[in-house]
Amino acid sequence: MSWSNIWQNVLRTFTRDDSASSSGTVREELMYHFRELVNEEVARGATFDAAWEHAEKQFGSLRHYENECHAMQLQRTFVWGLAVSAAALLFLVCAGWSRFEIGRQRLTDDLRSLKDELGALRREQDSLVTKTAQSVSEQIQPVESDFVGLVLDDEQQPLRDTTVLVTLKTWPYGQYHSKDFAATTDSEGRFLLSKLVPASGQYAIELAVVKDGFAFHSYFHLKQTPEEKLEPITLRLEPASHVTLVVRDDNDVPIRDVKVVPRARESQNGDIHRIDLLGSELVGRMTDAEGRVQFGCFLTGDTVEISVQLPGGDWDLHSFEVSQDDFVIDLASTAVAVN
Amino acid sequence: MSLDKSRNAMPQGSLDMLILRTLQLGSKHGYAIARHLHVASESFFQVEEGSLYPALHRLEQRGLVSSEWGPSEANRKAKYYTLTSAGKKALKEQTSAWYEMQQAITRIMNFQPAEM
Repeated sequence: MSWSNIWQNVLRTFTRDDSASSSGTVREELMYHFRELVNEEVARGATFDAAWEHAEKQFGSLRHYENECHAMQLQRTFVWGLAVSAAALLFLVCAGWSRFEIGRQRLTDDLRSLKDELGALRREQDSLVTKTAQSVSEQIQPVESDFVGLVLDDEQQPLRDTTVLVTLKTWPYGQYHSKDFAATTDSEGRFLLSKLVPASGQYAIELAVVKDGFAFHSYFHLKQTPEEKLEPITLRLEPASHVTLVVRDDNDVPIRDVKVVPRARESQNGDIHRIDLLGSELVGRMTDAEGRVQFGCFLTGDTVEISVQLPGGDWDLHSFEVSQDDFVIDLASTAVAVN
Repeated sequence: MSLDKSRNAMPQGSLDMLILRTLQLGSKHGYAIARHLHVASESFFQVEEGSLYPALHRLEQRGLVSSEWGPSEANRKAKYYTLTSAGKKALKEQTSAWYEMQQAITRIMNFQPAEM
């Protein structure tokens, strides 16, 4: 057995990794991500070269990050080697660098191979596009679809005049866009946002349903696959508990005109419901002359987040659990009490 | 809310916590983790996606995540990461520390010196 073989065997012994993050698999893992970025851009209509360039910009240097992963592996090996012996450590470092150089060379070869493979794919795609240009042109006409839903109370009865706030988020050509919509439920508790759902591309829909006397409810949908359709949704609102907050200063004197805005609530089963700025404005309240403000949008047992703004002051975030017992929060200059 | 995109670097040390939080929602491969961070942050953070991998490997070495090769959505071979029980514990600790730091920063920003 040659010295080279001995070095390789020792190296394999020290760098053997049960979690499958050896040289080849690290490269394979990174290349999977890189290919997906290229495919994503090609699917958006970019040329292969533009897609490749975009992927390089978005991912960063493949070689750099592979080296970092390898360096981490080598570091672990280094520590293990110290425990064995100083001689083994020297052996390991030399072998590690050797393996590192081999891995780098393999990565270069793989990248070249991948570029050739994707170049052939591009030529094939170009040919297909030419043949079917007319039909593709017809198919890419965007046809948005409606977003519909039903809002019920806890007795399955429709809730009319409920405010439905929707934020649509899209990423055309990698750029983030968002747009807000609002609707009100009809006498049968139904709402309709016409032509809201994009025909293609990734999108996310955030929705908050707000009605005084009922705990507010939010919903999130992220389209992750091209085949995925947004089905009509049904939301059930539960009657809210009556919560009264009293805001006082250090001398226990009530403060009026304090703005109190609910931001989120976490129910006892762990569901988190949030409302954005527009929704907050709908359920926000001001304290009266006795420093009191009442809410009908939380459930008993909820852990809630509220924002509090003293007259002319900044916003403070508070969190507390809605319970039957009296609850007091002490702040640096203000006390907020729940009766 | 207006955001200055030139300042959208991820706060130092927060990437591990964000990865653990993402994996709390279910097993994912690196590409899916990157997409989730992109979507959930509303494209806020401007980071090279390759930087996820040293972090993932570091978390795996620390026993906070485990990995397994499996078929992707496009039926290709991808490496899926899963949060371990040690990872869940670490996420809880990091989340708690992050909230405390956030509150401390808020207190400092809101601090008003006493009037003379």
